Amino acid sequence: MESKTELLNEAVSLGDGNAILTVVLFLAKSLKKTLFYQLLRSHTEAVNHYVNYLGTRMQLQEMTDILQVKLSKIILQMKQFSIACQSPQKRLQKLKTCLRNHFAESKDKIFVDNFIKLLEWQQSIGTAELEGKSVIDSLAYTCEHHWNDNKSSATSPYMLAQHHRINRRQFQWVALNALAKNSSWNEIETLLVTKGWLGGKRVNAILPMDQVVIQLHKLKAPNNVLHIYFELIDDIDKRMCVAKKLQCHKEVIDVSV
Amino acid sequence: MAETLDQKLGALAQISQRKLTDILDRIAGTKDFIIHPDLIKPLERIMGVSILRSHGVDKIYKLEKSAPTPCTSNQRVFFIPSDMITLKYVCDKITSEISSSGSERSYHIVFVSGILGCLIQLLEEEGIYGKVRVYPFHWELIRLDSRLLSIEYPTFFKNVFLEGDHSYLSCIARSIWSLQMLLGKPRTTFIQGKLSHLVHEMVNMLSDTVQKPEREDCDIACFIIVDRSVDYVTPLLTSATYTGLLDEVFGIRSGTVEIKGETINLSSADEVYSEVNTRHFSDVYSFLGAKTKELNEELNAFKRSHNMALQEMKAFINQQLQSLMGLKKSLSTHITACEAIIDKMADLFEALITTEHNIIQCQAKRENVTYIEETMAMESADKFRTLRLMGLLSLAQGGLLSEEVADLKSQFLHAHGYENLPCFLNLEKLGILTTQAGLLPHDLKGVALANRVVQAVMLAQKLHLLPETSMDPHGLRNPKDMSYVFSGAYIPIICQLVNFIIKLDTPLEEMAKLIPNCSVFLDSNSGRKPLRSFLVYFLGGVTFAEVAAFRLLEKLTGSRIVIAGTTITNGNQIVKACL
Repeated sequence: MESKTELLNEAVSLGDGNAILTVVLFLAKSLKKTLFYQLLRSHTEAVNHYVNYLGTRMQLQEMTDILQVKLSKIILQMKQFSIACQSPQKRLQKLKTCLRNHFAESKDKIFVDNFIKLLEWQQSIGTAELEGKSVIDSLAYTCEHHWNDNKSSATSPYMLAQHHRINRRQFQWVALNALAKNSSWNEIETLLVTKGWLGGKRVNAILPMDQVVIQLHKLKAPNNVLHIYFELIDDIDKRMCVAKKLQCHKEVIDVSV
Repeated sequence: MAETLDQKLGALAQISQRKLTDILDRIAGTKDFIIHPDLIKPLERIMGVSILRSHGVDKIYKLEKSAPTPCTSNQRVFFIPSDMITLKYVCDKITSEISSSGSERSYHIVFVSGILGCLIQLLEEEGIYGKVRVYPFHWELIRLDSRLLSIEYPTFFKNVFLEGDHSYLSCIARSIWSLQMLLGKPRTTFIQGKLSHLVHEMVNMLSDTVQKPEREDCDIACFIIVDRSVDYVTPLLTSATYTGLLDEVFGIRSGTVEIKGETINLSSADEVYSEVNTRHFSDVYSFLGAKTKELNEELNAFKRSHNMALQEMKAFINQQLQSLMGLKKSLSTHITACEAIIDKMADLFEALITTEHNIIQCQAKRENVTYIEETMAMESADKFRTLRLMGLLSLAQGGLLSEEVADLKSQFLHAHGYENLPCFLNLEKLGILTTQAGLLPHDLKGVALANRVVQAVMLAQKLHLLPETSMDPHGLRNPKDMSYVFSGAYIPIICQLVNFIIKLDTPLEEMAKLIPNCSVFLDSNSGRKPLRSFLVYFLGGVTFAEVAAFRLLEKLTGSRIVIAGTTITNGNQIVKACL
C-alpha cells in the first residue's frame, strides 16, 4: 500500500496525464473500493483524470460514486445532464431522473424543469415538425398556427411565452416573422403599435423599428404596411439609411419634408 | 557550413517524414492505409502521397465511423489520433472484420499523439490486444508558413484546459525538446501559466535524461511558452486583418481554406497573399483592385507592342508571361475571397466592431447588452458570436451580476435549445463568463476565479493594452501600433510582452512580475544583451491576430519572431470547445 501511494504521488508530481491515468487504472484494479477512493481523495488531479476517463467510457455508476465522494456536484450534474440529452428516445425520462437526483438545489433547476415541460408540451402538440426544436422554434410554430387561440389555451403562443418566461424582444421578433408569413399585417400592427389619445401612433415594441421595416420588406409586406413602421423610426439618420437600403422614394420624401 | 534558421525549420518536416516511413518500413510489403479524416490535412503538410506509396502503401482510405472500410490488402494500417473514442471505432471494425473473414490479416495502429496506457487497456478489454501491433508516432511541429509552426492538435484546448486531461502535455514537451535539439538551448526563457510550467519541466527532464542539445549557441535568444488562458480577450474579439477574417468566416485548416469549392493555399510563397496576409481588411480590397489594374496595363502594353522583335517576344512569353498569369490567377482568387468575406460580414461588421470596442473600454454597457440580446432575438449573428460577446463583456467587467448572467443564459437557451446548458458551466470553468465574486458556489473556487478576472482588468492597464486614441483609416493602412489588428482597440497581451522585452526598459525579472503566474529563467551568461530573436509557443492555440501583431513588431523593431502553437485558434474554436 505504501508503495502504491508513492507511485501515485510520483505520477501526479510528474504532471503527465498519461502516467497519472495509468497508475490510477492500475490502482482501481488492485485495490478495494474504499481504499482506492481514500487514496484518490487526496489527489484532485488524479480524480480529474479518472472522471474524464469514466465519462468517455460511459461508466456512469462508478463516476457518480467518485464524484459524490469528492469534487463538485455541479460537474456531476452537468455530466448527467449531457448524457440524458444524448439519447433521443429516452431523453424525457432520463431528464426527469436527472432532475430528481441532481438538480434539486441547483440554480439551474428551472432550466431542466422547463426543458422537461417543453418536451412534454411538444409531445402533446404531436407534430413531427417540433421534434428537437428550441423554445423559440416552438413559439414560431404556435404563432403561425395558433395565434388566435384563447390566450389561456395550452397551444397559445402567449401561454408558451409565459411558461418559459420568454423575453419580450424574442417574443415580438418571432411573432412578427410568423405573422408576416401568413400576411397577418393587422395582427402585427396590434402587436407592435398602440394608438395614442388623439389617434397618433406610438411604438409598443422593444424591437428597433429600422430592423422591423427591413425585415418586413424582406417578407414582402405591402408598401402601406411598411409606411406605418417607417414613420415610427425616430432617428432621421436611420430613416435615411433604411430608405436608401429599400429604395422607397415616397419615404425619402417624407423625411425631407 | 551553418544552416540558416529557415533551413532548420524546413528540416522539421523531414524528421516527421523519416519517423513515419520508419514505421511503415517495419511493416514489410504492401498495406492499406486507413486515416482519420482530421489527420489528412496535417499529414499532407508533412509529406506527399508519393512518399507513402514508395513505402508500401497501396490504397488509402478515410476512416469512417459507420461505413465498413474496403479491404485491398492483408495488412491494415490505421492512422488515428490517440483518443479512446476513435480507438473504439477501430476496435469495432477490426473485430467485425476478424469475425467475417478470419484472422489471416495483420492489423497495425499508429497513434499520432503517442501510446497512452488507457488505449492499451481498451485494446485488452476488446480482446484484440494480441492481434494488433501499435506504434507511437509524434510528428514534429508542422510548418504552416515561414515562421509559423503548429503541432495541429485542435482538441488540445478542450482536453487540457477544459477537461484537465494532462495526457497530451508530454507530446507538447517532446515537440519543444525536438525543436531545441535543432535550434539549440535558448539563454532566456519566459514561462507563463500552470500548464506551461509543467511542460517546461518535462522539457528539462527530457534534456537531462535523453539528450541535451549539443550546440552552445542558439538561433533563438528568448523562448516563451504561455497558456492560452492568459489572454482570452484576443480570440474573443473579431480580428480585422485579412487572414484573421478569412479564418473567422471560413475556418482555415492547416494553412488552407476552402471558398466556393476552391481550396486556397495560404503561403507567403504566394506573392499576392504575402502582401495582403496581415493587412487590415479595410485596405485589402482596394489594394487588390489597384494591383489588378497595374497588371492589366502591363499585359495590354504587351499586346500593343507590335514592334517587339520576335526574339524579344519569345523571351517575354517564356519568362514573364507565365508569372504574370500566375499573378493574375492569384489576384482573382483573393478578390473572390474578399468578396465572400464582405458578403458574409457586411451586415454585421460595423455594429459588431463598435460593440466590441465599447465592451472592452467599459462604455455603454446597456447598449452592449441590448446588442447581445438582439443577436439572440433577431438571429442577427450565430450562437458562437453571441457567446463570444458575452465572454468579452464578462472579462471586461470582471464578471457579470448573477441576474445578468441568468437573463442572458435564459435567452440563449430559448433561442438555441436547453441542451446547451452545460456550455455555461464550461465558460465559467475557463473564467470566460463568470458571476461576480461572492456569489459563486464554493466548489468552483470562487475567490481565485474572481481574482483572476480582476487581474485581467488590471493587466490591461499595466501593459497599456488599450490605446488611448482611436486610429484613423491612415493608421490602419500604415500601422505603427499592434492594436491595428483590432482596428485600434486592443493589443494582444503576449505581443505587448515581447514588445517590452525588445525595448528592455525594465529588467526581465521585473517584466515577469507584470504578468500573472510568469517566471523567467536566465542562463548565467545571458548578460544584458538586447534580445532580437524569439520563439513564442501558445499552449491552447495562437490566433491570426497575434500572428499579424508579431509580424508588425518584427517590421518595426527588426526582430525575428517564430510563432508556434498547439493549433491556430479563434474565438469560434474556443466557444465551440465549451458547447
